[in-house]
Amino acid sequence: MRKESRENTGANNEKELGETKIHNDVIATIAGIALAEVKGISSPSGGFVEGITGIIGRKYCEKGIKVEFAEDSIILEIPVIVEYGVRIPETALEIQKKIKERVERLTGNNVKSVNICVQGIKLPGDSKKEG
Amino acid sequence: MKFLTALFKLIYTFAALIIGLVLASLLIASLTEKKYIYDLVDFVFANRVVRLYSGFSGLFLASSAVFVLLGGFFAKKPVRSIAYNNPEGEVTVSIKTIQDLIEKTAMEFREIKNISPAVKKDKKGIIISLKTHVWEGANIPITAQQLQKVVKERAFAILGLDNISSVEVNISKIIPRKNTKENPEIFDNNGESNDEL
Repeated sequence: MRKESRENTGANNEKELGETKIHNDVIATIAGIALAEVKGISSPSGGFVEGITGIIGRKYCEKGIKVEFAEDSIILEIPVIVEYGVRIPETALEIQKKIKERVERLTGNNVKSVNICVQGIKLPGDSKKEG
Repeated sequence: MKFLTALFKLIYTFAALIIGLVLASLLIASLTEKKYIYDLVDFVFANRVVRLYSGFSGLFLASSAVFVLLGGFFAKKPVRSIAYNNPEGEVTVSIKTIQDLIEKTAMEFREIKNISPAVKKDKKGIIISLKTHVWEGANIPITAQQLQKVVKERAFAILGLDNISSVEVNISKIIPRKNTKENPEIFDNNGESNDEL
């Protein structure tokens, strides 16, 4: 069995017919699409698609979704900008549940934790405000 | 600017350390053979009082440099975010988010002209400091109390921060009312117009 760095190759599902690799970018894209469905949230980098690309190897809580592997499960770090008035505890939990369910369902991998990083608050009249 | 400040501190520290050690060494006469300090050494050694002063000054500078170095090494780094856990993982809220929310909340008070929030953290919890400019005629104790209450409530309700140990309000300036358009009316906390204005 050949083992590769999971940080770069993503999830690795080995079956009898061969192995299936899922790149980290794919997992980040799935998480980004799920995130876009939550109201009152926007991506720090403008669009979710732009925020998803070029995400690997950046510092914690920078722009872009970060995907890490801990043993056989995935840890996701999701930076967000919240709109003014949004209750962060409830919204963060909603994001976490939605992303966890989506990633587990579409990739077949276990999600250990979804960490939310609130980088800024979008005030009324602001086009974008980041922390 | 922070980089320059750090650079100056570093240069000062090393300069003080070197000067201090050289001066201290004069006390024990360990560098008397070095040519470049012959004149200085002659002068210092010619007078016992000067030698003692030089030696103790050197010891003071050297020890202060060590303290500066140790102080910089062990100094608390500024907090950039506050984090808490929920069943699905961790939620991190940046300090900028907290400051923006506090600013927005404070600006709902008619008595407040502007506000500069600062967020710190210690063993007891989160400390929010609010440097505030209020309009002339504002009832400061009541405004401050209301502000503290609302900020604490919003921080819990919106941000989920339940460990705020204190909300410090520092009224640093009273802004005189120039015209009625800028500050048309200030109400007291019973909702009644303040006649003093």
